[in-house]
Amino acid sequence: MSFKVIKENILKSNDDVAGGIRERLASRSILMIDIVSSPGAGKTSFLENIGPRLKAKGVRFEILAGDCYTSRDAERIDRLGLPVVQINTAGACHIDAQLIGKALDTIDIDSLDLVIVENVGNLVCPACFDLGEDMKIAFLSTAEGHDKPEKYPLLVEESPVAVINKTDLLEHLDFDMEYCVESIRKINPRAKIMKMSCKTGEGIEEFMEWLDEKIKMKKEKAL
Amino acid sequence: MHELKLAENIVTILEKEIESPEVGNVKTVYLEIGKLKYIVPDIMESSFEHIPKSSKLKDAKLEIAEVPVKIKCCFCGSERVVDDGDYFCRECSSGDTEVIGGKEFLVKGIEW
Ligand SMILES: Nc1nc2c(ncn2[C@@H]2O[C@H](COP(=O)(O)OP(=O)(O)OP(=O)(O)O)[C@@H](O)[C@H]2O)c(=O)[nH]1
Ligand SMILES: [Mg+2]
Ligand SMILES: [Zn+2]
Repeated sequence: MSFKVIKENILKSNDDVAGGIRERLASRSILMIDIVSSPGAGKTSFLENIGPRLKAKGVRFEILAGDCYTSRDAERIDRLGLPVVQINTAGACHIDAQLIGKALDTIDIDSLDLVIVENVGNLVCPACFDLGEDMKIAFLSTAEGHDKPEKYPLLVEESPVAVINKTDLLEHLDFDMEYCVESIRKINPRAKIMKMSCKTGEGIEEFMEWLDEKIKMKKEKAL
Repeated sequence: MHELKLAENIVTILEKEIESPEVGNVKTVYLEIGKLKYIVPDIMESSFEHIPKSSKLKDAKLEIAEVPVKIKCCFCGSERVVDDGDYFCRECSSGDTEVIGGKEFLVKGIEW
């Protein structure tokens, strides 16, 4: 029997590309956020909400909309006249850094302040793939139940922000908000938790203010 | 769910490593995978099996060592394994802890 030590990161090919993207964006002071949720938590609805506000504020941004097979989400965003690039993962359960790199190649990034990625609806796989983003956002919703942070801790641990969307449905559900918030805190005590409803607009302004501050911090290289 | 993509990456890494003539037909591939990565070993193994690979790798089996989640307190420095989903420091109750284990994703080595 012979043995050879290798010790190589299985995700090295992805992580190297992600590192390149991070540098490319940092040299231009562009903030990149990656919205990760289970299917149907409301990512596209959220972008439909904040997109027009960002535009009105004069923020220069691009949305990269990930989808396994269809272009439905990109079409919804495009219908509002918002800048969007469709990323088709050809069935894969996550976006990888190579796909982000290719999408960025198709646009003029020099004129951007912000890149927003809508990841494929999935709480498991996207958490493993670095895209070169500044931060992931754990986008939860009341309809999926209060135990999701506990069941998917990696995403919560890696996200400085956890959104709990669909608060307008609380009266119809047995969702335990306190339990959900507490379990996020247990995993990531530093996480900023924002309760939100894309239907009523609750929490959208709070998110806009937070995002505005992060864009500024990125410009001042304080992020 | 992303086991297939990862299995492909593993094969790519291995193909490079077995190029050297001293490496014979690989029997075992040792992996180290953190618990936080939610890899299902069985799915990983069958994904690996189904990927086309060169003859030296044809009969290779995966041996997966799962690494527990481990935290280190940024305040008092104490370390412990997280077995209850609670990431607070038990020594000083600080919530300011850092994950230092459980995110591993390594090809450790091969045996032939
Ligand atoms: N009641 C309620 N419904 C919402 C809210 N946000 C989104 N929805 C609805 O939830 C459904 C899914 O919303 P999407 O925005 O498509 O969710 P998504 O996360 O982009 O879905 P995928 O991209 O397919 O994973 C739609 O019917 C939305 O109208 C909310 O705050 N409250
Ligand atoms: Mg969507
Ligand atoms: Zn401590």
